[in-house]
Amino acid sequence: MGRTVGGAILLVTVYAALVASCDSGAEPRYRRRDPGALVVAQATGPLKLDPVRVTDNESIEIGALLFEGLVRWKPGTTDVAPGLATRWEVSSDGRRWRFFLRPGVQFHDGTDFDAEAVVFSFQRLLDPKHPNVLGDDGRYWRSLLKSIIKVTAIDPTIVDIEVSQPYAPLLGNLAMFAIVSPTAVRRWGEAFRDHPAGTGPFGLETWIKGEHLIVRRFDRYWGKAALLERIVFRVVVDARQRLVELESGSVDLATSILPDEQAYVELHPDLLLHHTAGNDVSYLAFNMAKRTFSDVRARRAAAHAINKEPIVKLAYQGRAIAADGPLPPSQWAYHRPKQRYGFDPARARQLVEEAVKDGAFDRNAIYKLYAMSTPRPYLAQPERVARFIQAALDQVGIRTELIMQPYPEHRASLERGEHDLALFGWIGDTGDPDNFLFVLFHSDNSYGAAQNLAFYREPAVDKLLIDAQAASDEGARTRLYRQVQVKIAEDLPWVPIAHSEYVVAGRTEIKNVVLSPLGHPIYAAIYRRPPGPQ
Amino acid sequence: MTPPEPPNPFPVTPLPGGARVGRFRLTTRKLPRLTNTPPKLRLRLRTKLVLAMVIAALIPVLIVALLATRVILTNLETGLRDDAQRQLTVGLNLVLRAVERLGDETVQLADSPNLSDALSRGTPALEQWLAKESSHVPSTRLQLFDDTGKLVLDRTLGGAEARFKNAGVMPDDPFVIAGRTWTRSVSIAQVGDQLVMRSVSPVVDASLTLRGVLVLSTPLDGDFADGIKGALAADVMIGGPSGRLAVTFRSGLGTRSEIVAIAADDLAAAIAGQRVIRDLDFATGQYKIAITALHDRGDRPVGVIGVALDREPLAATKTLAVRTLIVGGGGAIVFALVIALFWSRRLGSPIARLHRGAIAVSRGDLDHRIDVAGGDELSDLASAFNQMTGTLKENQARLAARMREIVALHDAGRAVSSVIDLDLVSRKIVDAVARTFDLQLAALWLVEGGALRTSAARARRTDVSIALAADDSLAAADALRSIADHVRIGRVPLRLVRAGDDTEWGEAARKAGAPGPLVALPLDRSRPGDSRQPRVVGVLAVGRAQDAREFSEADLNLLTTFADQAGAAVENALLYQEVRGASEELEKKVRLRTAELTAINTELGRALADLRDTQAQLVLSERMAGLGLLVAGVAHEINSPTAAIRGSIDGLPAALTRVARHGAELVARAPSTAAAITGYLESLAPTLAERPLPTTLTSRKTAREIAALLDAAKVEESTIVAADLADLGGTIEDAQALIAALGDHRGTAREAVSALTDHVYLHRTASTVRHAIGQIQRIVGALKSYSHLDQEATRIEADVHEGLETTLALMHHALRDIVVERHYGNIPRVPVYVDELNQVWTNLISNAQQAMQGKGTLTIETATDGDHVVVRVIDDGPGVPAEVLPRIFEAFFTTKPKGEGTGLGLGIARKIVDKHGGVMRCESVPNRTVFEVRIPGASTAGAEAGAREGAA
Repeated sequence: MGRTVGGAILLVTVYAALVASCDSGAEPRYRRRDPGALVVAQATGPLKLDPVRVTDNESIEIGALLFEGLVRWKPGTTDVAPGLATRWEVSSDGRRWRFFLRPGVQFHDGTDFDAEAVVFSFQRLLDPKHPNVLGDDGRYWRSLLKSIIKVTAIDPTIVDIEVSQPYAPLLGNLAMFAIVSPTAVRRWGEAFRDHPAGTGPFGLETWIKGEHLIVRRFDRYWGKAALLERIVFRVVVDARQRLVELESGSVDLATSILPDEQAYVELHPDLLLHHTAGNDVSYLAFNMAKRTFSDVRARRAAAHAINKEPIVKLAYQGRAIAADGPLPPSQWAYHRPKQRYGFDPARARQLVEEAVKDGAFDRNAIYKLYAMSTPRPYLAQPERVARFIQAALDQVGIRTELIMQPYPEHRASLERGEHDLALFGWIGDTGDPDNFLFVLFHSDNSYGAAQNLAFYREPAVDKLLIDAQAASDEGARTRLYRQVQVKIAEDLPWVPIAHSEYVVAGRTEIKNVVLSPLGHPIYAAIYRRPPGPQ
Repeated sequence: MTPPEPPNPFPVTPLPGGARVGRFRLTTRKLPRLTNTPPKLRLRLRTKLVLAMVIAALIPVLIVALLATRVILTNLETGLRDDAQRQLTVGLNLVLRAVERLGDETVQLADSPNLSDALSRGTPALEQWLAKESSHVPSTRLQLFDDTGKLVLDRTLGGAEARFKNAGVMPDDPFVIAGRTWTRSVSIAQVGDQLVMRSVSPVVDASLTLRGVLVLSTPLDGDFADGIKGALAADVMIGGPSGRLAVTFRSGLGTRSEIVAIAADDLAAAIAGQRVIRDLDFATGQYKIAITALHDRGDRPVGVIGVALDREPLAATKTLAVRTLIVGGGGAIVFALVIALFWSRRLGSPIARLHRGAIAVSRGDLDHRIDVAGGDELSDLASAFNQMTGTLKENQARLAARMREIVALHDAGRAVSSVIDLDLVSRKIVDAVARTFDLQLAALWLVEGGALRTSAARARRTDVSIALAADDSLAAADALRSIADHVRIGRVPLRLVRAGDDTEWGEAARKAGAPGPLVALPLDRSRPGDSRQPRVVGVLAVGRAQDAREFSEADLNLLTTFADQAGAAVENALLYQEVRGASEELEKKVRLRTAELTAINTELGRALADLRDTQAQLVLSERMAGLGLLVAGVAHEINSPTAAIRGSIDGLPAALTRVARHGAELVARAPSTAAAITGYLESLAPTLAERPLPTTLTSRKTAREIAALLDAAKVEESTIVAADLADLGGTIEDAQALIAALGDHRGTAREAVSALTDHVYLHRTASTVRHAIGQIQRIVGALKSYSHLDQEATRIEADVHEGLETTLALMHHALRDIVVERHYGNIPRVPVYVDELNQVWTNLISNAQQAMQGKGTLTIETATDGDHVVVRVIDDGPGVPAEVLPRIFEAFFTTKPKGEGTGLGLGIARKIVDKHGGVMRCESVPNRTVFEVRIPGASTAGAEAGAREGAA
C-alpha cells in the first residue's frame, strides 16, 4: 500500500513538474538580452578597423577597444602609462628609445605579441617597400611619426626606436599607435581592416557594416578583464530614435546627442548625460602675416571685446568651457597664464584708441572675418558665433566683414592667408601638448597646408617648442610648455574661445561611464547595476 | 495492498469428532472468515477502482487547471504590468517633450526679432510684440524681465488665469538669475505642492548683450494631464512630492475626480527612482498604476508622474478563464466518473464471479464452475480456477479411494494378525489383497524347507468376473512360481506394467491369466540392515486384468506395508507351529500364551476398531505398522526362550535315564546308604544348581583340597570324584557331607557324584525353562500392558515412566545395539490415554532407532515444566535436515526408504499429543535430534481439551 501511494505521489509530482516546466517555458521573456552585454547606439558605424588607416571617430572609438599601443593613457586623462611596454628608456642623446615589452601577451588571433610584431607594425607604415605597406591611408600617422628613422628588435622583448632628433612627444603619439598582429595582416592584407586582430581587452565578434558591430571580451587579455562580456555597437542614424531607444531601454548608451535633446535627457529620471572636456579648442585667429593685426594692442582689444560666456551658454548650450589658452585644462601641460583677457569693452576701446593713435591700427578699415558655414565638432553654431564676434568687435571700434564659406573653402582661404580674422579650431590627435602647441604655433607650420593659420612666427617660441620635444623629462617639458603658453598669452596670435564638452547619454543603470579625452567611453570599466528591487 | 494469501488446497484435516473415515473436505484457514463479508469486499473493490480512476483523471485535470489558471493570470498580470510600464514610459516622454517644447517656445520667443528692441522701448512696444508673437504660443504664463531684473511683462496666455496664478516666478528666482547669465534652461520646479514646468531664456541682441530674461511657466496639473492623456491609453496622475496627485479620472458626468493620494512607501520608492507598480482601487474603478519620479535639471526628484490602467478587462478575463477551467475540469471529472463506473463494472463483475467461486470452493462445493468470458487475464484466471477445482475434486476422489484401500488393508492386517493357523493366515492375506486392490489374481507362496509352496491363491476368470475355484486358483498361481522364486531370491519387489508383454515373465503371466499389471513382493523378515541372514518367509503376487490400471507407487507402498504385516503374521504362525512341536507341556503353555496372544490380538483389534471410530483411519495404519514392529519383537523375544527351553528339554531324557541308572546302581551297591545318598543328592543338587559355575582355576584348587579330604577319608577314585564335585561347584563342606552320606560305602562315591551331576543338570534345566517361561510371561505381560487391554479407552491417570518402560521393553530387540540412557525426573501421574500415548513413545523411539540406524545412544528425559510433563526423546543420529524439519509432522511425509515407513507416524503421534492437549515439537542438529512432548497435568488437561473441542 505504502509503495503504491509513494509511486502515485511520485507520478503526480513528476507530472506536475513536467506541466510546470511547460509553464515556465511559456512565460514571456522580458529580458531583452544578455545582461553582460552593453548596447551602444551610434549615428554612424565605423569605416575601417585598422587603426592606422582610421580617420573617422567611430573607428577610433572601437579601435581603442581592439588595439593597444606600447603605452596608453591613464583612464580619463592624457597621462602616459605603460601599455604593451612595461617600461622604457631614452638614450642620453634622446635619439634612441628602448622599450621593454610585456611578456605573455597574445593577439586575438592567438599569436604571441613580441618585438617582431612591434617592428612589423611600424614598418608597414614607414617602409615604402614593405609588402603590407599602408600607402596613402597611412599619411596622417606617417606625419605624426615622421621623426622615427628605424625600429629594431633587439630581442623578443626589447625594441629600439631611433629618431632623427630628440622627440619627446613620441611617447604620447605612441599611446594611440596600434600594434597589430603580423600574422593577421599577412593573412588578410588589405582586408585586415575588416578582420582586425590586436591585443585589446575586446575582440571583434560580428560586424555587419552599417547595421551593427559586436565585440567580445578577450579572455586571454593580459590586463584586468573588462566587466562587460560584449559590447554591441548599433547604427541608429536618427538622433531622436537613438533617444527613444535609450528611453525604452533597448540601448544603454547613445552618442551624438543633439544639444536640444540634452535638456530632455537631463530631466529624464532614467537617463544620465555623461560629459567630459574635449581635447579641442576653437579660436579666433589673427592673420599676423598681415599688417592689419600686427599690433598686439589691436589683438588684445579684440580679446577684451568678446564675452565668451554667452557664447558658451548660448552657442554651445552650456556644453563647453570658455578657453583661456590653447590647451584644454585636461592636458597635463595646461597652464593658466596670469595674463588673461576678460570681457572689458572699455579696456578694448581704450586699446584700440591707443593703437590708432600710434598708427598701428586703422579704425576705418573693414577687416575680413572668415568663418565656416559648416558646423564643426568644436563649434556647433559657427555663424551665430561669428555674428556675435562681429557685433562685439564692432562695439569696440573694430569693423569687420563676415565671409562665410563651407569648411573646405574656408580652410583653403585661410591657408592662402586671405583673412584678417578667422574662426577656426583644432582637435588634438594625441594627448601630447606638442600636438597642440607645436602644430598650431611653430613657425614651421605657418607655411603651406599647415595649421599655424595665425602665421605666428616667434623664434623664442619655436626654440621652446623644439626644446620641449627634445626634453625627455616631463617636468622639464612642463616648464618649457608653461613658458610657451605665457608667451602666447602675451603675444596673443589668436583669441581662444572655448573647449567643447563631449556628451554621451546613458541609462542610469549603466555605471562608471568615464569618457576619454577623445569623448569615447572607457568601455572596459563600465558595468551594469544589477536590477534592484521593484 | 497485499494480496490475500492464496488458499492452500492440500491440507487434509479430518473432520472433528466421529466423522466417517474417508470423507474429507478441503478448507483453508482464511476463506471461512472472508465468506462472512463478501458484499463489503465487492463494494470496496468497486469503490477503489472508481476512486483510482477518478483520481487518475482528476489529478492531471486539477494540476493542469491550476497551472493553466496561474499561467493565464500571471500572463495577464504581467501583461498589465508591462502595459503600465510602457504607458508610464510614454507618459514620461510626453511630459518631458512638453517641457522641451516649452523650452523651444521660450528660445523662439526670446530670439524673435524686435524683442530686444521692444525691451529697450518700454511696455507699449512689448505689448505690441506680444500681440504679434503670442498667437502661436500655447497656454502659459509669460514673464519678461529687463536686464536689471525688473519684471516688465507678466501675462497669462490662453486665459484661465486662476490656473497659472501660482506658477510665476519672482525676479530673484534662481531661474531669472541664471537667465541673466545667459543660461537657457528648462526644468520642472515645485511651487508649493504643485509642479510647474518652466523655461528660461536670456534675451540678447546681436552682440549677445543681455537685454532681458524671458520665463515661461506652465503648471503640471490636471489640465496638463488631460492634455497628454489623449496620447495614452491610460489615465494620468501627476503631482508634487507630497504624493497627492492630480488625476484625469472622470466620473460619468465628465467631472474630474478628486486628487488621489499615493501610499507613503510607494511614493518614497518612486522618489528614490524606482518604478512602482500597484493595484489601486478608486471610487471610479479598479486600476493598475505605475508611478515614477520627475526630476529637475539637477537630477533632484521634485514630484511623481503616474499612469493608471483599468483593471476591469483583466478581472473579466480572469473570471472567464476561471469559469472555463472550472466547467472544463468539471466536465473532465464527470467524464472520468462515467468511464470509471463503466470500467469498474466491467472489471468488477468477473472479479465478483471469481470471488463467489472461491467462496463456494472454500465451502466445499467443488462442482462450482466460474464462467468469465472476455479472453483477458480474468477469464484465464477463471479457467485456471475451474481447472484447479477440477483437479481438487479429482484429488479428493483419489484420496478417498486411497483411504478406502488403506482401511481395507488395515482390516486385513487386523484379521491376519488374529489368526495363527498358517493356511488361514495365507487365505486371509490373499483375500484381503484381492478385495482391496481389485485383482485378477492374488497368490501367496510360503517358504518351506528352502522352497516355495503355493499356500493360497485367488483368481477370477479372465472372461467373466467370477471367482475361480480354489484349486483352479492354485493352479493359476503355480504358473507364476518362477516369478515368485525370482522375487524370493532377489528379495526385491517385482513390478511389471504389462506382465503379458514382458519377455521374461510374459508367458508365465499369460498362463496364470494375469497378463495385466503385476506385482510380486517378498515377505521379507530380514532384520533391517542385516543382509547376511535373509529371511524371506514367502512371496505375495498380485496381478490385474489385462487392461486394468497399473499399480501406482502408492499401491506399491501399501502392498509393501501389507507384505510386512503379512510376513509378520506368517512368521508368527510359523513360529507358533514350531513352538507347538517342541514339547507337550511347553506346547500347552505356548498354546496358552498364543491363545492369550490371540485374545490380545482380538482385544487389539477391538481397540483398533474403537480407535477407527474415534480417529482418522491413518492412525490405524501407523498402529498396525507399530504393531507389526512389535509383533516382530515379541516373536523374537519369545523365540529365544523357546529355543532355550527346547535346548534344555533335548537333554532331559538321557539325564533322566542316567539318574535312574545311577539310582539303581547306588541301591544295588550300597543299599544301606542309598537313602542317605539320595537325601544328600536332593539337598545338594538344588543348591548347586543355583550356584554359579566355578572357574577352571577355582575348580582345580577346590578339586585338590577335596581330593586331599577324600584321600583322608579313603574314598576311592578320589581325584576324579574331587574333580567332578569341584566342577559342579562343590566345596569342602559338600565333600564332607558326601563322605558323611557315603558312610561305609566309600566305593560308591563316583556313582554318587555322577548322580549328583545329573541331578544338578536337571535342576539347572528346570531353572532354565522356568526362566525362559518367565521371560515369555514378561513379554506377554508387557504386550498386555502396552496395549492396555485390561483398561477402558478412557483417560486415566498413569505413570508416564511406566509407558516408556513398557515400550522400551517391547522394543528391546530393536534396541539391542543401542545404549538407552534414562534421565527420569520426578513427575506426577498425568491423565492420558495410555495406549495411544504408548503409540507415541513407540513411534518416537522407533524413529530414533531408525535414525541412528540401530546404533548409538538414545536418551529419554522426563521433567515437569509448570503444569506440564515434558518427555524428550533424544537421539544422536545424523539429524533432520533443515528443509524437512517444518514438514516433519505432516501426514504422508517420510524420509525413510519406501517400505520402512508410512509417513503417517509422526503425524499421528502429533495428533495423539494434540488430543491430550499437549504440544509436540522437534529440534534437530546433527548428532542431537530432540522430540519433545509436553502433556498437561491433571489441573489443566481437562480445561485445555475442552477448549480445543470447543474451538474445533
